[in-house]
Amino acid sequence: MYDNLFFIIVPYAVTIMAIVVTAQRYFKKPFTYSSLSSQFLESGELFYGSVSWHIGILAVFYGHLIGLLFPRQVLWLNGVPARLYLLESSGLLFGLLSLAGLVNLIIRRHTSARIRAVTSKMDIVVLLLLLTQVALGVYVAIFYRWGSSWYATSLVPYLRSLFLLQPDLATLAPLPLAIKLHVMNAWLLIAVFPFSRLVHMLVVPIPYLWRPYQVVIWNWNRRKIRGVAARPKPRPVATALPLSDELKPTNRPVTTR
Amino acid sequence: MRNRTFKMKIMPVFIGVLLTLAAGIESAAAQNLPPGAVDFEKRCYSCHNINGGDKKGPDLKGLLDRRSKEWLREFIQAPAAMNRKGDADANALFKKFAPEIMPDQPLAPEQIDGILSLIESLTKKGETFIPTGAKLSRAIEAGDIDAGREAFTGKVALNNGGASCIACHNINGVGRFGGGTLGPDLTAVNTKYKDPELISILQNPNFPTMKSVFGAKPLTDEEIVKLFAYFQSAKFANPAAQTQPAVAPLNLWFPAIGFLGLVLSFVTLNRIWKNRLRGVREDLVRSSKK
Repeated sequence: MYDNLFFIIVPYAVTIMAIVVTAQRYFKKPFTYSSLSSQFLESGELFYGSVSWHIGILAVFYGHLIGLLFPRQVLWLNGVPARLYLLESSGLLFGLLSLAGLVNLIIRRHTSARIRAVTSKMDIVVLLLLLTQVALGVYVAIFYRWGSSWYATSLVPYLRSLFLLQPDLATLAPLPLAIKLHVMNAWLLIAVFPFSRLVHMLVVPIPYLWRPYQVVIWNWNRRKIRGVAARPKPRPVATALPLSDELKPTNRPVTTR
Repeated sequence: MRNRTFKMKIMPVFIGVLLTLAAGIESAAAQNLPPGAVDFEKRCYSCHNINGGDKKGPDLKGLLDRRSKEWLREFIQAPAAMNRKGDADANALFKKFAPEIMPDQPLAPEQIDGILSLIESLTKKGETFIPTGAKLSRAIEAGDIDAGREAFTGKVALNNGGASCIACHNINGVGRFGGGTLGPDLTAVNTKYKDPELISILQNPNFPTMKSVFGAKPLTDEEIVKLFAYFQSAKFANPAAQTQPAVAPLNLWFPAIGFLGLVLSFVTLNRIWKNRLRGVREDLVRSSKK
Protein backbone atom coordinates (compact mmCIF):
# COMPACT_ATOMS: atom_id res chain seq x y z
CA MET A 1 0.00 0.00 0.00
CA TYR A 2 2.71 2.45 1.04
CA ASP A 3 4.82 1.18 -1.83
CA ASN A 4 2.11 2.31 -4.25
CA LEU A 5 2.03 5.74 -2.65
CA PHE A 6 5.79 6.29 -2.41
CA PHE A 7 6.89 4.63 -5.63
CA ILE A 8 4.04 5.25 -8.06
CA ILE A 9 1.87 8.18 -6.99
CA VAL A 10 4.66 10.35 -5.57
CA PRO A 11 6.96 9.91 -8.61
CA TYR A 12 4.28 10.94 -11.10
CA ALA A 13 3.07 13.83 -8.91
CA VAL A 14 6.53 15.29 -8.33
CA THR A 15 7.64 14.84 -11.94
CA ILE A 16 4.59 16.66 -13.31
CA MET A 17 5.00 19.38 -10.68
CA ALA A 18 8.71 19.72 -11.44
CA ILE A 19 8.12 20.18 -15.16
CA VAL A 20 5.23 22.66 -14.77
CA VAL A 21 6.76 24.78 -12.01
CA THR A 22 10.22 24.79 -13.59
CA ALA A 23 8.79 26.09 -16.87
CA GLN A 24 6.61 28.62 -15.09
CA ARG A 25 9.54 29.91 -13.05
CA TYR A 26 11.72 30.16 -16.14
CA PHE A 27 9.20 32.25 -18.05
CA LYS A 28 7.71 34.27 -15.19
CA LYS A 29 10.70 34.87 -12.95
CA PRO A 30 13.78 34.31 -15.11
CA PHE A 31 16.05 36.24 -12.77
CA THR A 32 15.49 33.73 -9.97
CA TYR A 33 17.04 31.06 -12.18
CA SER A 34 20.30 30.95 -10.33
CA SER A 35 21.74 30.25 -6.97
CA LEU A 36 22.45 33.03 -4.52
CA SER A 37 26.02 34.02 -3.81
CA SER A 38 28.32 31.30 -2.57
CA GLN A 39 31.02 33.91 -1.99
CA PHE A 40 32.58 32.68 -5.18
CA LEU A 41 35.72 34.74 -4.81
CA GLU A 42 36.79 32.76 -1.77
CA SER A 43 38.53 29.68 -3.01
CA GLY A 44 40.13 28.14 0.04
CA GLU A 45 37.34 26.22 1.73
CA LEU A 46 35.01 26.56 -1.24
CA PHE A 47 37.48 24.73 -3.46
CA TYR A 48 37.42 21.52 -1.39
CA GLY A 49 33.67 21.78 -1.09
CA SER A 50 32.31 22.91 -4.40
CA VAL A 51 34.82 21.34 -6.79
CA SER A 52 34.84 17.89 -5.21
CA TRP A 53 31.06 17.98 -4.75
CA HIS A 54 30.39 18.86 -8.37
CA ILE A 55 32.93 16.43 -9.84
CA GLY A 56 31.62 13.64 -7.60
CA ILE A 57 27.92 14.21 -8.06
CA LEU A 58 28.13 14.72 -11.84
CA ALA A 59 30.00 11.43 -12.26
CA VAL A 60 27.54 9.60 -10.00
CA PHE A 61 24.54 11.19 -11.71
CA TYR A 62 25.72 10.24 -15.19
CA GLY A 63 26.64 6.78 -13.90
CA HIS A 64 23.02 6.27 -12.82
CA LEU A 65 21.80 7.67 -16.15
CA ILE A 66 24.03 5.38 -18.23
CA GLY A 67 22.92 2.41 -16.12
CA LEU A 68 19.31 3.34 -16.81
CA LEU A 69 19.78 3.75 -20.55
CA PHE A 70 22.13 0.82 -21.19
CA PRO A 71 21.51 -1.89 -18.57
CA ARG A 72 22.50 -4.79 -20.84
CA GLN A 73 25.78 -3.16 -21.79
CA VAL A 74 26.58 -2.51 -18.12
CA LEU A 75 25.89 -6.16 -17.28
CA TRP A 76 28.17 -7.19 -20.15
CA LEU A 77 30.88 -4.85 -18.84
CA ASN A 78 30.54 -6.34 -15.37
CA GLY A 79 30.89 -9.86 -16.77
CA VAL A 80 34.58 -9.92 -15.85
CA PRO A 81 35.16 -9.40 -12.09
CA ALA A 82 38.12 -7.06 -12.68
CA ARG A 83 35.94 -4.73 -14.76
CA LEU A 84 33.12 -4.94 -12.22
CA TYR A 85 35.51 -4.00 -9.42
CA LEU A 86 36.95 -1.12 -11.42
CA LEU A 87 33.50 0.28 -12.14
CA GLU A 88 32.31 -0.15 -8.56
CA SER A 89 35.49 1.33 -7.05
CA SER A 90 35.20 4.35 -9.35
CA GLY A 91 31.55 4.74 -8.37
CA LEU A 92 32.42 4.56 -4.68
CA LEU A 93 35.26 7.02 -5.13
CA PHE A 94 32.98 9.58 -6.79
CA GLY A 95 30.31 8.95 -4.17
CA LEU A 96 32.82 9.60 -1.39
CA LEU A 97 34.14 12.66 -3.24
CA SER A 98 30.66 14.16 -3.42
CA LEU A 99 29.97 13.26 0.22
CA ALA A 100 33.20 14.88 1.42
CA GLY A 101 32.52 17.95 -0.73
CA LEU A 102 28.97 18.25 0.54
CA VAL A 103 30.02 17.96 4.17
CA ASN A 104 32.62 20.70 3.53
CA LEU A 105 29.98 22.91 1.95
CA ILE A 106 27.57 22.36 4.83
CA ILE A 107 30.24 23.19 7.42
CA ARG A 108 31.23 26.30 5.46
CA ARG A 109 27.63 27.43 5.13
CA HIS A 110 27.13 26.96 8.84
CA THR A 111 30.29 28.66 10.03
CA SER A 112 30.69 31.58 7.63
CA ALA A 113 28.58 34.58 8.57
CA ARG A 114 28.61 35.90 5.00
CA ILE A 115 27.09 32.68 3.64
CA ARG A 116 24.63 32.27 6.50
CA ALA A 117 23.33 35.68 5.58
CA VAL A 118 22.35 34.54 2.09
CA THR A 119 21.04 31.11 3.13
CA SER A 120 17.34 30.49 2.69
CA LYS A 121 15.29 27.81 4.43
CA MET A 122 15.02 25.98 1.12
CA ASP A 123 18.83 25.85 0.92
CA ILE A 124 18.88 24.01 4.23
CA VAL A 125 16.18 21.58 3.03
CA VAL A 126 18.14 20.94 -0.18
CA LEU A 127 21.39 20.36 1.70
CA LEU A 128 19.75 17.92 4.12
CA LEU A 129 18.08 16.00 1.29
CA LEU A 130 21.33 15.85 -0.68
CA LEU A 131 23.28 14.72 2.39
CA THR A 132 20.73 11.96 3.05
CA GLN A 133 20.82 10.91 -0.59
CA VAL A 134 24.59 10.74 -0.92
CA ALA A 135 25.11 9.10 2.49
CA LEU A 136 22.51 6.43 1.63
CA GLY A 137 24.14 5.94 -1.77
CA VAL A 138 27.57 5.34 -0.22
CA TYR A 139 26.03 3.04 2.41
CA VAL A 140 24.26 1.00 -0.26
CA ALA A 141 27.41 0.83 -2.41
CA ILE A 142 29.42 -0.62 0.48
CA PHE A 143 26.88 -2.82 2.25
CA TYR A 144 24.74 -3.98 -0.68
CA ARG A 145 27.42 -4.34 -3.31
CA TRP A 146 27.40 -4.71 -6.45
CA GLY A 147 24.86 -2.07 -7.20
CA SER A 148 25.91 -1.42 -10.78
CA SER A 149 24.76 -4.94 -11.63
CA TRP A 150 21.61 -5.32 -9.56
CA TYR A 151 20.53 -1.79 -10.48
CA ALA A 152 20.23 -3.08 -14.04
CA THR A 153 17.95 -5.93 -13.04
CA SER A 154 16.05 -4.67 -10.01
CA LEU A 155 15.70 -0.90 -10.39
CA VAL A 156 15.89 -0.23 -14.14
CA PRO A 157 12.74 -2.32 -14.82
CA TYR A 158 10.90 -0.27 -12.18
CA LEU A 159 12.07 3.08 -13.61
CA ARG A 160 11.30 1.97 -17.16
CA SER A 161 7.83 0.86 -16.13
CA LEU A 162 7.22 4.39 -14.83
CA PHE A 163 8.35 5.94 -18.12
CA LEU A 164 6.13 3.55 -20.07
CA LEU A 165 3.17 4.53 -17.86
CA GLN A 166 2.78 0.91 -16.74
CA PRO A 167 4.15 1.07 -13.21
CA ASP A 168 5.43 -2.25 -11.93
CA LEU A 169 6.84 -2.61 -8.43
CA ALA A 170 7.66 -6.33 -8.65
CA THR A 171 11.43 -5.85 -8.76
CA LEU A 172 11.58 -2.90 -6.36
CA ALA A 173 9.23 -4.16 -3.62
CA PRO A 174 11.49 -6.85 -2.09
CA LEU A 175 14.61 -4.64 -1.92
CA PRO A 176 16.09 -3.63 1.47
CA LEU A 177 14.91 -0.48 3.22
CA ALA A 178 18.11 1.53 2.61
CA ILE A 179 17.74 1.12 -1.16
CA LYS A 180 14.05 2.04 -1.06
CA LEU A 181 14.86 5.13 1.01
CA HIS A 182 17.49 6.11 -1.57
CA VAL A 183 14.85 5.89 -4.31
CA MET A 184 12.22 7.69 -2.22
CA ASN A 185 14.62 10.50 -1.36
CA ALA A 186 15.41 10.94 -5.06
CA TRP A 187 11.72 11.66 -5.68
CA LEU A 188 11.77 14.21 -2.85
CA LEU A 189 14.74 15.92 -4.48
CA ILE A 190 12.78 16.18 -7.71
CA ALA A 191 9.88 17.60 -5.67
CA VAL A 192 11.95 20.47 -4.26
CA PHE A 193 13.90 20.97 -7.49
CA PRO A 194 11.74 23.74 -9.04
CA PHE A 195 11.47 25.66 -5.77
CA SER A 196 15.15 25.65 -4.92
CA ARG A 197 18.55 26.75 -6.17
CA LEU A 198 18.92 23.34 -7.82
CA VAL A 199 17.42 24.87 -11.01
CA HIS A 200 20.86 26.35 -11.65
CA MET A 201 21.84 23.01 -13.19
CA LEU A 202 19.47 23.72 -16.09
CA VAL A 203 21.20 26.98 -16.95
CA VAL A 204 24.86 26.06 -16.63
CA PRO A 205 26.70 28.80 -18.59
CA ILE A 206 28.30 26.35 -20.99
CA PRO A 207 29.00 29.10 -23.63
CA TYR A 208 31.60 30.41 -21.17
CA LEU A 209 33.80 27.62 -22.46
CA TRP A 210 34.08 29.12 -25.96
CA ARG A 211 33.01 32.75 -25.72
CA PRO A 212 35.81 35.28 -26.31
CA TYR A 213 37.49 36.45 -23.13
CA GLN A 214 36.70 39.88 -21.81
CA VAL A 215 39.30 42.40 -20.75
CA VAL A 216 38.28 44.62 -17.90
CA ILE A 217 40.13 47.90 -17.71
CA TRP A 218 39.75 50.46 -14.99
CA ASN A 219 40.72 53.86 -16.25
CA TRP A 220 41.14 55.43 -12.87
CA ASN A 221 43.40 54.85 -9.95
CA ARG A 222 41.35 52.69 -7.65
CA ARG A 223 43.63 53.09 -4.69
CA LYS A 224 43.61 56.81 -5.04
CA ILE A 225 39.84 56.94 -5.20
CA ARG A 226 39.56 54.67 -2.22
CA GLY A 227 42.13 56.71 -0.42
CA VAL A 228 40.09 59.85 -0.93
CA ALA A 229 36.84 58.19 -0.11
CA ALA A 230 38.11 56.07 2.74
CA ARG A 231 36.54 56.77 6.04
CA PRO A 232 38.57 56.80 9.24
CA LYS A 233 38.84 53.42 10.85
CA PRO A 234 36.26 52.98 13.61
CA ARG A 235 37.90 52.69 16.99
CA PRO A 236 36.44 50.73 19.86
CA VAL A 237 34.99 53.07 22.41
CA ALA A 238 35.05 52.05 26.00
CA THR A 239 31.64 52.54 27.48
CA ALA A 240 30.07 51.46 30.69
CA LEU A 241 26.60 51.55 29.22
CA PRO A 242 25.23 48.52 27.36
CA LEU A 243 24.44 49.18 23.72
CA SER A 244 20.83 49.12 22.70
CA ASP A 245 19.82 46.39 20.24
CA GLU A 246 19.63 48.87 17.37
CA LEU A 247 23.24 49.86 17.81
CA LYS A 248 24.67 46.38 18.02
CA PRO A 249 26.53 45.29 14.88
CA THR A 250 24.72 42.63 12.89
CA ASN A 251 25.71 40.53 9.93
CA ARG A 252 22.58 41.25 7.91
CA PRO A 253 23.30 41.63 4.21
CA VAL A 254 23.26 45.17 2.94
CA THR A 255 20.87 45.45 0.04
CA THR A 256 20.95 48.28 -2.41
CA ARG A 257 18.27 49.21 -4.87
CA MET B 1 51.37 -23.19 -5.34
CA ARG B 2 50.39 -25.19 -2.24
CA ASN B 3 46.83 -24.19 -2.79
CA ARG B 4 47.03 -25.37 -6.37
CA THR B 5 48.42 -28.78 -5.35
CA PHE B 6 45.61 -29.12 -2.82
CA LYS B 7 43.06 -28.31 -5.49
CA MET B 8 44.63 -30.80 -7.91
CA LYS B 9 44.46 -33.52 -5.25
CA ILE B 10 40.91 -32.85 -4.18
CA MET B 11 39.48 -32.16 -7.62
CA PRO B 12 39.20 -35.80 -8.82
CA VAL B 13 37.68 -36.81 -5.47
CA PHE B 14 34.81 -34.41 -5.56
CA ILE B 15 34.24 -34.76 -9.30
CA GLY B 16 33.74 -38.45 -8.52
CA VAL B 17 31.30 -37.55 -5.76
CA LEU B 18 29.45 -35.24 -8.12
CA LEU B 19 29.17 -37.86 -10.83
CA THR B 20 27.83 -40.42 -8.34
CA LEU B 21 25.31 -37.92 -6.98
CA ALA B 22 24.21 -36.88 -10.42
CA ALA B 23 23.85 -40.48 -11.55
CA GLY B 24 21.73 -41.18 -8.46
CA ILE B 25 19.53 -38.22 -9.20
CA GLU B 26 19.26 -39.20 -12.85
CA SER B 27 18.25 -42.76 -12.11
CA ALA B 28 15.36 -41.76 -9.83
CA ALA B 29 12.34 -43.41 -11.37
CA ALA B 30 9.41 -41.24 -12.36
CA GLN B 31 6.69 -41.53 -9.79
CA ASN B 32 2.98 -41.05 -9.90
CA LEU B 33 2.66 -37.56 -8.54
CA PRO B 34 0.06 -36.93 -5.83
CA PRO B 35 -2.21 -33.90 -6.40
CA GLY B 36 -0.57 -30.63 -5.45
CA ALA B 37 2.97 -32.00 -5.75
CA VAL B 38 3.83 -30.00 -8.87
CA ASP B 39 2.42 -26.77 -7.45
CA PHE B 40 4.13 -27.34 -4.13
CA GLU B 41 7.46 -27.94 -5.81
CA LYS B 42 7.19 -24.85 -8.00
CA ARG B 43 5.57 -22.48 -5.53
CA CYS B 44 6.43 -23.55 -2.01
CA TYR B 45 9.48 -25.78 -1.89
CA SER B 46 12.05 -22.97 -2.09
CA CYS B 47 11.03 -21.91 1.42
CA HIS B 48 9.03 -24.79 2.94
CA ASN B 49 9.58 -28.45 3.70
CA ILE B 50 7.03 -31.04 4.60
CA ASN B 51 8.57 -33.05 7.44
CA GLY B 52 12.08 -31.87 6.65
CA GLY B 53 12.53 -28.99 9.10
CA ASP B 54 12.19 -25.22 8.82
CA LYS B 55 13.78 -23.41 5.89
CA LYS B 56 13.12 -19.73 5.16
CA GLY B 57 9.57 -20.53 6.18
CA PRO B 58 8.17 -23.09 8.64
CA ASP B 59 7.99 -26.85 8.09
CA LEU B 60 4.41 -27.51 6.97
CA LYS B 61 4.09 -30.95 8.57
CA GLY B 62 0.81 -31.12 10.50
CA LEU B 63 -0.28 -27.76 9.11
CA LEU B 64 -3.97 -28.66 9.07
CA ASP B 65 -3.86 -29.51 12.78
CA ARG B 66 -2.72 -25.94 13.49
CA ARG B 67 -4.82 -23.86 11.09
CA SER B 68 -8.23 -24.02 9.45
CA LYS B 69 -8.55 -24.43 5.69
CA GLU B 70 -10.34 -21.07 5.38
CA TRP B 71 -7.52 -19.30 7.17
CA LEU B 72 -4.92 -21.04 5.00
CA ARG B 73 -6.68 -20.17 1.74
CA GLU B 74 -6.74 -16.51 2.68
CA PHE B 75 -3.20 -16.47 4.03
CA ILE B 76 -1.57 -18.27 1.09
CA GLN B 77 -3.08 -15.85 -1.41
CA ALA B 78 -2.19 -12.65 0.48
CA PRO B 79 0.01 -13.20 3.55
CA ALA B 80 1.29 -9.63 3.84
CA ALA B 81 -2.25 -8.22 3.71
CA MET B 82 -3.30 -10.53 6.56
CA ASN B 83 -0.28 -9.46 8.55
CA ARG B 84 -1.18 -5.79 8.06
CA LYS B 85 -4.78 -6.54 9.03
CA GLY B 86 -3.48 -7.58 12.44
CA ASP B 87 -4.30 -11.31 12.32
CA ALA B 88 -2.62 -12.72 15.42
CA ASP B 89 -1.34 -15.95 13.79
CA ALA B 90 -0.06 -14.09 10.73
CA ASN B 91 1.69 -11.54 12.96
CA ALA B 92 3.35 -14.31 14.95
CA LEU B 93 4.61 -16.02 11.76
CA PHE B 94 5.96 -12.81 10.27
CA LYS B 95 7.70 -12.04 13.54
CA LYS B 96 9.24 -15.49 13.87
CA PHE B 97 10.58 -15.61 10.30
CA ALA B 98 11.53 -11.93 9.93
CA PRO B 99 12.98 -10.45 7.80
CA GLU B 100 11.50 -12.93 5.33
CA ILE B 101 8.18 -11.83 3.86
CA MET B 102 6.14 -14.50 2.16
CA PRO B 103 5.10 -13.24 -1.29
CA ASP B 104 1.47 -13.44 -2.40
CA GLN B 105 0.71 -16.71 -4.21
CA PRO B 106 -1.88 -16.18 -6.94
CA LEU B 107 -3.20 -19.76 -6.80
CA ALA B 108 -6.73 -20.94 -7.59
CA PRO B 109 -8.67 -22.40 -4.62
CA GLU B 110 -8.44 -25.90 -6.11
CA GLN B 111 -4.66 -25.58 -6.42
CA ILE B 112 -4.42 -24.57 -2.76
CA ASP B 113 -6.65 -27.51 -1.80
CA GLY B 114 -4.36 -29.82 -3.78
CA ILE B 115 -1.32 -28.56 -1.87
CA LEU B 116 -3.14 -28.89 1.46
CA SER B 117 -4.19 -32.46 0.72
CA LEU B 118 -0.56 -33.28 -0.19
CA ILE B 119 0.57 -31.88 3.17
CA GLU B 120 -2.16 -33.83 4.98
CA SER B 121 -1.33 -37.11 3.29
CA LEU B 122 2.44 -36.83 3.84
CA THR B 123 1.87 -35.84 7.47
CA LYS B 124 -0.31 -38.90 8.06
CA LYS B 125 2.25 -41.20 6.47
CA GLY B 126 5.10 -39.49 8.30
CA GLU B 127 6.92 -39.02 4.97
CA THR B 128 9.12 -36.20 3.77
CA PHE B 129 8.38 -34.31 0.55
CA ILE B 130 10.96 -35.10 -2.09
CA PRO B 131 10.60 -33.10 -5.29
CA THR B 132 10.51 -35.39 -8.29
CA GLY B 133 11.25 -32.69 -10.84
CA ALA B 134 14.32 -31.53 -8.95
CA LYS B 135 16.95 -33.42 -10.84
CA LEU B 136 19.71 -32.42 -13.17
CA SER B 137 19.07 -32.84 -16.88
CA ARG B 138 22.37 -34.66 -17.36
CA ALA B 139 25.33 -35.99 -15.43
CA ILE B 140 27.96 -33.49 -14.32
CA GLU B 141 31.13 -33.39 -16.38
CA ALA B 142 34.57 -32.11 -15.42
CA GLY B 143 34.27 -28.85 -17.39
CA ASP B 144 30.99 -27.91 -15.71
CA ILE B 145 32.67 -26.34 -12.68
CA ASP B 146 34.55 -23.75 -14.72
CA ALA B 147 31.51 -23.22 -16.94
CA GLY B 148 29.41 -22.71 -13.78
CA ARG B 149 31.90 -20.21 -12.48
CA GLU B 150 31.69 -18.29 -15.76
CA ALA B 151 27.90 -18.29 -15.56
CA PHE B 152 28.14 -17.12 -11.92
CA THR B 153 30.41 -14.18 -12.72
CA GLY B 154 28.60 -13.28 -15.94
CA LYS B 155 31.57 -13.96 -18.19
CA VAL B 156 29.12 -16.11 -20.12
CA ALA B 157 25.75 -14.36 -20.13
CA LEU B 158 22.72 -16.35 -19.02
CA ASN B 159 20.67 -17.56 -21.98
CA ASN B 160 17.34 -16.05 -21.01
CA GLY B 161 18.81 -12.70 -20.00
CA GLY B 162 18.80 -13.11 -16.20
CA ALA B 163 21.40 -11.22 -14.16
CA SER B 164 24.59 -13.08 -13.31
CA CYS B 165 24.75 -14.38 -9.74
CA ILE B 166 27.77 -12.26 -8.72
CA ALA B 167 25.59 -9.13 -8.83
CA CYS B 168 24.00 -10.16 -5.52
CA HIS B 169 25.82 -13.25 -4.21
CA ASN B 170 29.28 -14.09 -2.95
CA ILE B 171 31.17 -17.36 -3.13
CA ASN B 172 34.54 -17.47 -1.42
CA GLY B 173 37.29 -17.24 -3.97
CA VAL B 174 35.18 -15.74 -6.76
CA GLY B 175 37.30 -12.58 -7.06
CA ARG B 176 39.58 -10.26 -5.11
CA PHE B 177 36.68 -8.18 -3.73
CA GLY B 178 34.23 -11.09 -3.67
CA GLY B 179 30.68 -11.23 -4.95
CA GLY B 180 27.65 -9.11 -4.12
CA THR B 181 26.05 -8.81 -0.70
CA LEU B 182 22.48 -7.92 -1.59
CA GLY B 183 21.60 -11.63 -1.43
CA PRO B 184 22.97 -14.34 0.87
CA ASP B 185 26.47 -15.84 0.60
CA LEU B 186 26.36 -19.03 -1.46
CA THR B 187 29.69 -20.58 -0.40
CA ALA B 188 27.86 -23.08 1.79
CA VAL B 189 24.60 -23.19 -0.13
CA ASN B 190 25.13 -26.86 -0.86
CA THR B 191 25.46 -27.54 2.86
CA LYS B 192 22.46 -25.44 3.78
CA TYR B 193 20.20 -27.13 1.23
CA LYS B 194 19.98 -30.76 0.24
CA ASP B 195 20.74 -31.46 -3.43
CA PRO B 196 17.11 -31.70 -4.61
CA GLU B 197 16.26 -28.55 -2.64
CA LEU B 198 19.07 -26.63 -4.29
CA ILE B 199 18.19 -27.89 -7.76
CA SER B 200 14.56 -27.02 -7.15
CA ILE B 201 15.53 -23.47 -6.11
CA LEU B 202 17.61 -23.09 -9.27
CA GLN B 203 14.64 -24.29 -11.31
CA ASN B 204 12.00 -22.19 -9.52
CA PRO B 205 13.59 -19.50 -7.38
CA ASN B 206 10.61 -18.41 -5.35
CA PHE B 207 12.31 -15.96 -3.00
CA PRO B 208 10.80 -12.50 -3.52
CA THR B 209 13.86 -10.81 -5.05
CA MET B 210 14.87 -13.83 -7.12
CA LYS B 211 11.36 -14.37 -8.38
CA SER B 212 11.07 -10.79 -9.59
CA VAL B 213 14.32 -11.09 -11.54
CA PHE B 214 14.20 -14.69 -12.76
CA GLY B 215 10.43 -15.28 -12.97
CA ALA B 216 10.33 -14.39 -16.66
CA LYS B 217 13.98 -15.25 -17.32
CA PRO B 218 14.52 -18.72 -15.86
CA LEU B 219 17.82 -20.56 -15.91
CA THR B 220 18.14 -23.20 -18.60
CA ASP B 221 18.68 -26.87 -17.69
CA GLU B 222 22.28 -26.64 -18.88
CA GLU B 223 22.95 -23.57 -16.72
CA ILE B 224 21.44 -25.34 -13.71
CA VAL B 225 23.83 -28.29 -14.16
CA LYS B 226 26.83 -25.97 -14.40
CA LEU B 227 25.88 -23.76 -11.48
CA PHE B 228 25.08 -26.80 -9.35
CA ALA B 229 28.52 -28.20 -10.14
CA TYR B 230 30.14 -24.89 -9.20
CA PHE B 231 28.23 -24.72 -5.89
CA GLN B 232 29.36 -28.26 -5.09
CA SER B 233 32.97 -27.37 -5.87
CA ALA B 234 32.72 -24.26 -3.65
CA LYS B 235 31.68 -26.44 -0.74
CA PHE B 236 34.64 -28.74 -1.28
CA ALA B 237 37.09 -25.89 -1.80
CA ASN B 238 36.00 -24.24 1.48
CA PRO B 239 36.11 -26.96 4.15
CA ALA B 240 34.53 -24.66 6.77
CA ALA B 241 31.50 -24.28 4.53
CA GLN B 242 30.73 -27.97 4.96
CA THR B 243 29.82 -27.54 8.60
CA GLN B 244 28.51 -23.99 8.86
CA PRO B 245 26.69 -21.73 6.46
CA ALA B 246 29.21 -19.03 5.58
CA VAL B 247 28.29 -15.38 5.80
CA ALA B 248 30.04 -13.03 3.38
CA PRO B 249 32.51 -11.05 5.47
CA LEU B 250 32.47 -7.33 4.84
CA ASN B 251 35.29 -7.13 2.35
CA LEU B 252 37.38 -4.22 3.55
CA TRP B 253 39.38 -3.99 0.34
CA PHE B 254 36.53 -2.33 -1.47
CA PRO B 255 35.85 0.57 0.97
CA ALA B 256 39.62 0.92 1.55
CA ILE B 257 40.24 1.41 -2.17
CA GLY B 258 37.43 3.98 -2.22
CA PHE B 259 38.93 5.99 0.64
CA LEU B 260 42.41 5.78 -0.84
CA GLY B 261 41.00 7.06 -4.13
CA LEU B 262 39.35 9.93 -2.27
CA VAL B 263 42.63 11.06 -0.71
CA LEU B 264 44.42 10.76 -4.06
CA SER B 265 41.66 12.79 -5.70
CA PHE B 266 42.09 15.63 -3.22
CA VAL B 267 45.86 15.62 -3.75
CA THR B 268 45.40 15.59 -7.55
CA LEU B 269 42.78 18.36 -7.54
CA ASN B 270 45.00 20.46 -5.33
CA ARG B 271 47.95 20.01 -7.70
CA ILE B 272 45.94 20.78 -10.82
CA TRP B 273 44.62 24.01 -9.35
CA LYS B 274 47.58 24.87 -7.16
CA ASN B 275 47.84 28.34 -8.72
CA ARG B 276 44.20 29.14 -8.13
CA LEU B 277 43.30 32.45 -6.53
CA ARG B 278 42.93 31.63 -2.90
CA GLY B 279 40.61 33.98 -1.11
CA VAL B 280 40.52 36.76 -3.70
CA ARG B 281 38.06 38.73 -1.64
CA GLU B 282 40.32 38.65 1.41
CA ASP B 283 43.13 40.19 -0.65
CA LEU B 284 40.78 42.84 -2.03
CA VAL B 285 39.54 43.77 1.41
CA ARG B 286 43.09 43.87 2.78
CA SER B 287 44.42 46.00 -0.08
CA SER B 288 41.54 48.43 0.21
CA LYS B 289 42.53 49.13 3.78
CA LYS B 290 46.13 50.03 2.94
